[in-house]
Amino acid sequence: MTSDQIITALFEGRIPNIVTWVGTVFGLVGLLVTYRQAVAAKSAAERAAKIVMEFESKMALSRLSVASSQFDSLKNIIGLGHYQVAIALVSPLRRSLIQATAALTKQDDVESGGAVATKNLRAVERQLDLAARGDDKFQSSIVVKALSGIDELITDIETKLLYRRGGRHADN
Amino acid sequence: MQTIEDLIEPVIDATNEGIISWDDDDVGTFSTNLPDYKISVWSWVDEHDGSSGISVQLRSAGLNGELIDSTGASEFSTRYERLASLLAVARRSARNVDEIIGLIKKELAVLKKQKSD
Repeated sequence: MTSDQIITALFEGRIPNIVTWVGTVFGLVGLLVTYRQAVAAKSAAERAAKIVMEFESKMALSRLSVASSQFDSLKNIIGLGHYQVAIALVSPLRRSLIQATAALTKQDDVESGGAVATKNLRAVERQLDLAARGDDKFQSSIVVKALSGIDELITDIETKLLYRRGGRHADN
Repeated sequence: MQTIEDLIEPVIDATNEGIISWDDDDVGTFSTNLPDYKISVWSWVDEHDGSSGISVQLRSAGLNGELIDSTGASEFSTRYERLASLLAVARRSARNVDEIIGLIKKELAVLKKQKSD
């Protein structure tokens, strides 16, 4: 193409058309690359979120097993009538239960687990204090109900965490 | 196997959407009558230790409807909050809380207008 032909083509609008088409093609290729990058980033983010969730579930199960053994100890100590010792066991149990429920989300439907643990253990603590002082206001039935609620909570958390990991109870 | 607890969320939703309404029997029990069934919810206090709880019953329709299923939870149960939500919407429905709030808002608007005039 000579310089005259190029000038003619410029004025006749052929080159701008070609430039527009080339630009459009590059634009489309760019969009495709951006789309593929977005898809890759999304799946990487999803994989990362899944790994974090699995890690949190494992940590929560580990904390729950600690809570479960602390809960058994608390029941045994109360059964033996060592109320002062039992009071000392309440705080670590509350901490373990709150940590175990922290991994659960609203979708798991146990979102109030921490609140239940706090409320019930506060009631247990109050009653154990009355029992330790030999106060007539001590209500053993409150202790039984509150401990039963904690038992229920531990089972609920365990079920949700196992379900989240794709597991199930042997009796289900 | 499904239980009455599986009905709690749908019944709360149906009440909030105005599909069903509840009646107050004046002794603290709230009931809703469906074509063939009746659901009742009430709160109770254990006289022995002063703790409270909530119960829900499903009966067949009629004066002495047959008991089909029931559930209850003490205030220490993990299920208590769900039952408390049902009791709260049933109470609001039976006592026309929506209507009363609307009327109070209108009255407040009138009082505000009177003061500004």
